[in-house]
Amino acid sequence: MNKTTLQVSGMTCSACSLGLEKYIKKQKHIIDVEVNLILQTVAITYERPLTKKDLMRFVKEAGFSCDAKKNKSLSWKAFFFFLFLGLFLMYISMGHMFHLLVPDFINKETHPLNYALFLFIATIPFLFYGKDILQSGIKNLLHKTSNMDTLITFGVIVNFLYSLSELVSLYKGNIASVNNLYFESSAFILLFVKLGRLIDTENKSKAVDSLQNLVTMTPKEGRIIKEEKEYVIPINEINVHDHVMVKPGEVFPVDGIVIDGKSHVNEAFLTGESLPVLKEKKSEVLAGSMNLEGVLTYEALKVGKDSMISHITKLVMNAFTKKTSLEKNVDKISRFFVPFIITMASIFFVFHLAFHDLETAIASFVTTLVVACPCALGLATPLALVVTIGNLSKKGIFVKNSEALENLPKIKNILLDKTGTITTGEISLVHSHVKKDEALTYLCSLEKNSTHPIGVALQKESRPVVTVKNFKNHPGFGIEGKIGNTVYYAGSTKFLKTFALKNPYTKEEKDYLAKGYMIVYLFSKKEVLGLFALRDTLKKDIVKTLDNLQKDYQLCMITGDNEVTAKVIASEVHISKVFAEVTPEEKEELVINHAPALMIGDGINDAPALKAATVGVSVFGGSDVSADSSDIVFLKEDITLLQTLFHVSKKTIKIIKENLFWAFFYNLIMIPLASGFLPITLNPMIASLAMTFSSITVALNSLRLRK
Amino acid sequence: MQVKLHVQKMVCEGCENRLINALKEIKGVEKVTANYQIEEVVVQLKNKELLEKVIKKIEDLDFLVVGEKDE
Repeated sequence: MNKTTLQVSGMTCSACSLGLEKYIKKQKHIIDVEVNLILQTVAITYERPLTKKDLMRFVKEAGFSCDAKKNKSLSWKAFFFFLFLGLFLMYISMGHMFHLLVPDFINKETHPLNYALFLFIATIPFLFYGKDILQSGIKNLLHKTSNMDTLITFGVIVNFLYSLSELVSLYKGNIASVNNLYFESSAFILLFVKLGRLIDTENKSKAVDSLQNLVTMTPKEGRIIKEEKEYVIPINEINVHDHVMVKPGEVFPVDGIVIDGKSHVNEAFLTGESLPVLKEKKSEVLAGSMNLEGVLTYEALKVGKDSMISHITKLVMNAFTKKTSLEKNVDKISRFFVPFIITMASIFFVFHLAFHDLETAIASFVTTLVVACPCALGLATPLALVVTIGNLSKKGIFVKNSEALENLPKIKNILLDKTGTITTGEISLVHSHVKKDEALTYLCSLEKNSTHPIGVALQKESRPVVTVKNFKNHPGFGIEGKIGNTVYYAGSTKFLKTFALKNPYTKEEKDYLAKGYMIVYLFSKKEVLGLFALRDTLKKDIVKTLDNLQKDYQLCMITGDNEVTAKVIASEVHISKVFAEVTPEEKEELVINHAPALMIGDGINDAPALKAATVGVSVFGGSDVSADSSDIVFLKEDITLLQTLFHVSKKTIKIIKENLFWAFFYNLIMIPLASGFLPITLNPMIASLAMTFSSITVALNSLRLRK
Repeated sequence: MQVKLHVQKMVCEGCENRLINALKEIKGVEKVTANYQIEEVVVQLKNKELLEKVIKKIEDLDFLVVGEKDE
């Protein structure tokens, strides 16, 4: 059995990578295939008769090519080659204007025909260099759709053909034609568009690299059970046949088959199925899927950190390949703009043909097309977004969904979860009032299966625990489990109130709540067995951060916790609007009613609200479910990141607007000049120079976001 | 001879490219174009027998060949 990793290029989306995986898996003697879209690699485990050559052949048959790394540096080498060729071309073409030394045999004045031929021949390589752009433009034209490539192709081809016809006329003896050659324009247009695309790819891969590093640095762990004890270990140390335990709200670290427990699982990101699937003994579970309400123990069957990384890979890939609404607008504009420009140029053409001559008409037609080329538009937004996302990731903010960056300036309300978001969630048990001694033991045993901060706090109470069967989580209310023959419940006052039981602790409850403590009750169907008071601490810098945010946004606290406790904490952080004792569904409703809203939270209970919010933010240490439902994830324990987020997004939008302005500005003021109606006229050469300037301006402006 | 196929499940230009690259590998396939927006694949084949091979390859790659497109 052999294993090899190949570098593959051509995978642009998850459909492609899945396609490759499936195709190779179908082949004989293939044992396993794992594709990594971000690293652009495929790891293949195979048997003897196959060789590495065969594997490379499979990759080719699937429509991809190996040796990707070579392609990237080759692209830059090619660009610089053509850049120098282009500069040389320009020198020969315009050298005489600046009285520069030009070899006599291709001198414009002495040997015009040679000069023209030289320019023509030197431009042809550029057409091959820009082959992909031209092909895309022509293809779109044939199918009657138009994008930026169409405009560029149109400009380049018309320009080239016109120059060619002038070359022919020159050959026939018309010396004046030598002034109407614009071959270098075609060359430069293609050169600069290629540059734009190279920069785009370069930025994307740099940002992805830094994200990849960040993501692999935050270790992902799994919980295994060995001899009745729980061990939390790094995912790549989980072996096949290990018993893995997954609690509510957690992500399955590896694939396997359930041994014990019952729960519903969300496999949406893997199968697209949004309805939760029931998993019980003998059910198959997949790495990356989300566990919902129950506790499951299963036997690991397929391991390897790649299965978790592919989960995160998908998140990262989505952040980049999803087109933002700004980008969609650019596409929309291109669809109007292109026919509009062609119409304008045609009008100028007809006008000049009627009142002047063919040459002026063609020159203005070509110039208009070239000068209107909105290549910088295609750069404007993506460049700014990519630089920002990379910058934010360095600061510890992971932007899963780039549309969120555009939505941030629209936010009016910020809704904050309490426990774990405003408070550290590091809760300690301070008082207990019990009816039976075992009450605290039972409570801790139940809470052992919980991922709620209260549960985590009680787990710290190192007590011998008893076995709990049929554990169930009731989001927003509490938990239940069977100890011995009795079902016990643990939860908030709200939970208790749904059972008609007599509560002997009402006075103690009132006292604790007034002090801002959190209350947990332990009870059975028959009686209340205990009251437990827990204390939480505020996060570092929270008051300062929220005070700053209050100036521009309306802040609300929304929590499933008790109202009195919530109000006490709220007053400590100067929040006046409080919604307490809300269920996850109610949190979601509140978020919708307060739109445009930013929701920040951490727990399973926040997931629906995070998803429904205009922008959903998951804090560090939050549950996997909340991270999955959010647009933005904080990778550091630092609440001031919320301020940073708003600040950076404001800057980004400003720069995107500036970019769009510059992209259009040059083009728009140039169009009247290109029309030939004004005393100052342009030629395609200067037009393409102007276009270059707009692209360079956009690029430099976007780099300002690097800080 | 030229055949126009109605092919579904191409989602992006990347899919188009890999389909084109893959079909080009088949001996006897002279020209291939693909467009995911109109769900179309056009192939220029040396003889009719190759069509079956082409369709099988497209399906091997996980796309769906609905049928031939009439002019």
